[in-house]
Amino acid sequence: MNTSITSIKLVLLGEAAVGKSSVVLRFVSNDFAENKEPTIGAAFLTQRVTINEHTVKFEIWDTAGQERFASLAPMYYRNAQAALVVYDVTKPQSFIKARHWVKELHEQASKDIIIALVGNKIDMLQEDGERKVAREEGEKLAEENGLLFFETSAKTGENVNNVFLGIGEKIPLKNAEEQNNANNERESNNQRVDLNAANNGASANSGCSC
Amino acid sequence: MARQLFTPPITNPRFDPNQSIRESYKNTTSSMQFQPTLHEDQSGDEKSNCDVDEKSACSETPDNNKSPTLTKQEIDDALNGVSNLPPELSRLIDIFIDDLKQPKYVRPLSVLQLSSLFQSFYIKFDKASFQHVSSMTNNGSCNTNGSPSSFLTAKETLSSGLSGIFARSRSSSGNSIMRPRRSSSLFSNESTSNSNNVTQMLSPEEIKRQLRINELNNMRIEKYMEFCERDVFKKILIVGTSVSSPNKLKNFKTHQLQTFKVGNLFRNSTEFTEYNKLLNDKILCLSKLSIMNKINLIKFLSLNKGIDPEPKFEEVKEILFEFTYHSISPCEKIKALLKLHEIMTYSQEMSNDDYLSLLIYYIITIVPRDIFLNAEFIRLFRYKKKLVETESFALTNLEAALVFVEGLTKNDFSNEMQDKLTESEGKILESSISSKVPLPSNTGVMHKTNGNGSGIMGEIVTPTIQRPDVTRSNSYDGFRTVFDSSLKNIIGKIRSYTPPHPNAVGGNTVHNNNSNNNNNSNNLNIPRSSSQLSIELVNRDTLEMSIDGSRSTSSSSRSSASLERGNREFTGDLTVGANASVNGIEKKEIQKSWKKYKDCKFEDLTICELRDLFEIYQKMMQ
Repeated sequence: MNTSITSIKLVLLGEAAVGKSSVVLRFVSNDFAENKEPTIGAAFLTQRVTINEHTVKFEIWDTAGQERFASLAPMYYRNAQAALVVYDVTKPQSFIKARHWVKELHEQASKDIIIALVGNKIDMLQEDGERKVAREEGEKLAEENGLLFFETSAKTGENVNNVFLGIGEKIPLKNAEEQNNANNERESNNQRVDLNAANNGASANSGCSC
Repeated sequence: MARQLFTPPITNPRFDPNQSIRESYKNTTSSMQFQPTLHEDQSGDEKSNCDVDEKSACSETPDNNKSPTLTKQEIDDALNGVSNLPPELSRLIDIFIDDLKQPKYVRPLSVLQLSSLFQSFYIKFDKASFQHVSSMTNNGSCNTNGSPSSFLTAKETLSSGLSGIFARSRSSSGNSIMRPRRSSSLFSNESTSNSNNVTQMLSPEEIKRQLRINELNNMRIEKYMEFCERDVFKKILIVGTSVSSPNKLKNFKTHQLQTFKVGNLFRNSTEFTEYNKLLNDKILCLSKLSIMNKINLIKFLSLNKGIDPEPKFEEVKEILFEFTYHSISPCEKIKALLKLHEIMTYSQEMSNDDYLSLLIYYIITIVPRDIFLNAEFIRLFRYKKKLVETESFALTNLEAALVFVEGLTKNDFSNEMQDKLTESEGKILESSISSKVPLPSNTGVMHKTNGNGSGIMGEIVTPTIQRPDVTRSNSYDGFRTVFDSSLKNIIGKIRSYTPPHPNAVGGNTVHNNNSNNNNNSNNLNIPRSSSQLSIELVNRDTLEMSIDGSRSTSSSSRSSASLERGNREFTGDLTVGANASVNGIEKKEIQKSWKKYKDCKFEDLTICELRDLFEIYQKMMQ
């Protein structure tokens, strides 16, 4: 039985105040706050999830969303195996920014990085908030770029966990493990998933998985 | 007791609920299942892998997925006794430092090359620590009279075998699960063969006990690695970074021994020091502008949204000074950085939107000197296996803050502020530092773009040197083995020509390993290239040349430079050490014939000239 634990570096991208940190806090807190490893605020969090036979440890790196810090993002998403591009469904500007992040990730991040597009704050739609980004727009962007797509509410927790499960399922864990077994003496860094080396058997699963 | 189980996402036909479901993430309506897997907090306390009611689900997870339960008392007992390195491990550090001090490199090592040497040493030390701890454990449990009964022998062998399996799982930053396993063929101290061929099953208690021992051993090794970093740099602080007087201790005042100038390690990499100097100037300039109210940092960094930097100011200042001035080893510095993160985090909800702005604010207002070099020092000299997760994140944040500051120009501020700038301030803020002083490309990549590699430190493409435990040759043999590849190789090799040790004239190989490095102190105090570093570099050049013919131009120009340099060195070696029969005329001839190609490009050489070069080489060999 495979009981390996695979670390996945996941980076959060999105405009300031779209709820990046809240999504992650919702993901890592909930019932298992007692299991949380030491963190640096909400800027760095870890959470383990068991998916099929694998245990995936998400190392979640938050980034500063302000425009002035945008040029620093490559330092954060370097070597990331997964990225969450978050926008606010009530702020069209944030969706435009999300498009930019997706483009940049495709151009500069690891070749096979798994990207999930997340439209957050859907709870606001039931609280007199007006939807400014149609679900179809998000789905279309995801489909065009081979992204996972979810609409979430960090406030209520709706769909938040599915985001991470979806990412975890797309990570080529088996290949990573084989790599590790093949080279026992490699450093722990190298034990992480190398998306470039691994042949991701899972085809791009665009569109909504929920 | 069965719980309600879910199989998200339901659209995935491959999803097998029997395999994936461990425990409900939320007891009520959560649509996915998370396993609250074992986590180990910093105190070493363990959490149960699953609750009692989940036995059926947990049975799929064998015990080796979790660490043995260690009490705090056990951990304290095991680690309290470890306050210094054992002498045999400490000796490795002495040898390493002595080796570094040997005048054996053609050129002073750049900081990237130095970093590579350190990383190789850390790996070696890590392995040595593992062996040491394993042997200690085995000795502790062995019958010391050397003639145990056959039964005990069998038990012990099995135990060793178990150790061979489980002891290879090593803890990482307190996390015992995510470690690469070690090869038993490399580290097993005892033969696993048994004359009686007895295979006795181990009881669960024995397995558990062994796991606990291994876990404690892992912690000891972690501790040793910390001590290793500490002691290496303390020793460097004492002996200095100069090659000239390797065995002489300078007379330091007490305070000097407490302050390690990381800049000393970078002095052969001027781009780093220049970059650092300019960044110091820029930070100081911004600080003055802030003090004089020419710029409002709070507003500029958007810190006026409920975050007040003042309450923590003194505390942060103290830690930043600790980080830059009062800590020595990379390990100590990263700890200071983590502490900085900890106290800056006012609440668990602070996101990086706020955090980065706050960090930049503190850097500009506190003005810690050489903060860039300190950050790079960690990046280069912290054991890369440890520079992961929170450590890596903390360092990345600091680097991001520094990149932001170095990129600030007067155009980032209001016109009103720009008008207030003095000439010198305007000059400092005229452009980004990276546009003036490009850092070495490897580091530049690390800063500016994304790499595809898998390692964090591994991104720095320094020469990977597998050094000390293999023999080093001072003889010509190394040349002979590679000589037949091509004449191109020769030109590359000339740079790393290794003059024979006086005692090795005649082609005898001198195996020069770490244990006899002290012999080198008797060597000639002239630049030499007997190190594997040089060989490695040359091999790389050779490889480049053979793989890509287009590189030959640059390689040949490098070779020309090498020829010149090598000429100088070779002459010295000939004169002093090796070939007493070579008279002055011959030397001049060699120099003359050699020099005549110094301005040639490789692709311009004719066959005759190449033959001529070959003959020069043969003369050298004689």
